[in-house]
Amino acid sequence: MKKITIALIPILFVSCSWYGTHGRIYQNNRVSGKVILMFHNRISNGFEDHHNMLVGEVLDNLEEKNLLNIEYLDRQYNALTFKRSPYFAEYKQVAAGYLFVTAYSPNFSDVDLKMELYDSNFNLVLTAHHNTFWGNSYFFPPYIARTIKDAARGAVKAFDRKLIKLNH
Amino acid sequence: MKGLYVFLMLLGCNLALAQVDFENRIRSKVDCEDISYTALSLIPEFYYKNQKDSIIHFIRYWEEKCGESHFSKEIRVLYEIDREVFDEKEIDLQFFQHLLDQVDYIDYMVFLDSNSQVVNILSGAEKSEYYQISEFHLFTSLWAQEILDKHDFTACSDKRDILLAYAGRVDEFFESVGNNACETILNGFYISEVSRLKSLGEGEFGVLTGIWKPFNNAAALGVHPSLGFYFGHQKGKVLFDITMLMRFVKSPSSYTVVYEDSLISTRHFFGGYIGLDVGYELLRTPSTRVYLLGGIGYDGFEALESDPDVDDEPSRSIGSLNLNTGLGGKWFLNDSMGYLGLELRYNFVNYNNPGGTDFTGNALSVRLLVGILGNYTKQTGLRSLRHE
Repeated sequence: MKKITIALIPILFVSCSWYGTHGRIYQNNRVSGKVILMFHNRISNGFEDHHNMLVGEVLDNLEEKNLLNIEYLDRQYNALTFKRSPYFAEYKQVAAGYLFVTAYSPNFSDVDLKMELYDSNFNLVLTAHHNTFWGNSYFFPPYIARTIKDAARGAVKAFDRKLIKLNH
Repeated sequence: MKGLYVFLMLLGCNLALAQVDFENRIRSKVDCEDISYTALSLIPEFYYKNQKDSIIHFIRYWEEKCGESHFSKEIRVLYEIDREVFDEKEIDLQFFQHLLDQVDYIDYMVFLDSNSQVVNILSGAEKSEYYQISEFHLFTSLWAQEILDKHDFTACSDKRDILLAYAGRVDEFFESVGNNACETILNGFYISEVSRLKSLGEGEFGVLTGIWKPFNNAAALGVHPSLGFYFGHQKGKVLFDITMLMRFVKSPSSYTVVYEDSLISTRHFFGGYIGLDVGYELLRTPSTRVYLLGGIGYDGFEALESDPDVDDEPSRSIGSLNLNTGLGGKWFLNDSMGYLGLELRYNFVNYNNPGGTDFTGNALSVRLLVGILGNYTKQTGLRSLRHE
């Protein structure tokens, strides 16, 4: 009986720490609360239409997978700058997690897109990445509108796969 | 007849409506260029008459009619900081970009102010626009400076950094946002942008010349000059290059090779190396980079000259795997991507010449390089952030 008690104590601690880091995001294969989505991109180079297109594509793809309860915050932050912004204190009470999408164009037409999911304690849960330079092939150099679409689809697909794996 | 009257009345009404519609359209059209142009003189006027509330009303009207512009945002932010109603939630990546644009404007104004010959070639309208924008910048910088003097901002404050940029104190602005001890929002964007730019890879291309000196038994081949080219890519501290080079000049003494069971004596030598060279960056200053070098490739030489026009002309090549290691440095010229380089490599080779002269022994090579290494986006980006 004593041995069982000794074995149960570390299991209890491990499960509590797992719940603390991940449990607030996933419950019953579903997201249990709001995940705040933010973008930090350098592909628009001042052209608003590309930023809006990127936001639209990522939101559409995430909605299609229907895994996260997304609330989009229309401000451009990455993890570091969000934590320093006044929004952090505001969202800390309500957010189950934070999803940061950073994107930039490594050349004239490709898009390198990275998604980082943090839990409510701001621990990095997973990252998914898609670079159209390596991940897609085009017969002719593509327009950036097309690579934005491909990068969003590729990154959300990888994100979805990792999220499912993490959940099981 | 009645029908004709009705038709004419309807036609008349339509024409009248069309006329009113056109007029409305013409009257309601707002020329944003005119508003912006007026703003450049009207806002300073409001300021000097101490009518600061009129400034914000005008900005609201301007932004409502024409959307937010760089100048309208600048004035609005100055007004809000002055009135202590500025919300730091406004500081995001786009705002950081707005401040970098402000720095670009200031740099451009300073350039024009100190290069009157450039201003002289501007057209009349351009010149008048330049003078007006220049005066507007002078006004905003004075206002920003006044707010800085009036309020006691702490050294690590986003508002202070914004005002430094608007006041044209560019070096102090970058010093402040680049100070990692200040964990401000703008400092976060600065760190992120610097680290993004630093992570970008760099392309390399160049030509090389040098000498190749074999040792031990291979010394019989003699010292040879080399000439070649290389191209590659550096990511982080690791540099990869594909190198191709030729070695020429006859050997100083004869050596023997076996060709179709006959031992032939020759001084002919035409060699080369093709391989993958790798460098690990040990030291970097703005003008110098030092690398630990390694390489793997094919090394060989033609011992008997082949002649494609003569069928039975003897031809014989001797080759070996080349593994090399060494040290190298690159010295960049005038902050450009162009450099001069020097490399010293020890080459482990094993030329196999069965029946002929024994060529066991390794070789030392010295390469002089002239090339370019860099990434334009990375270099100009880091320079614009005043980051060395």
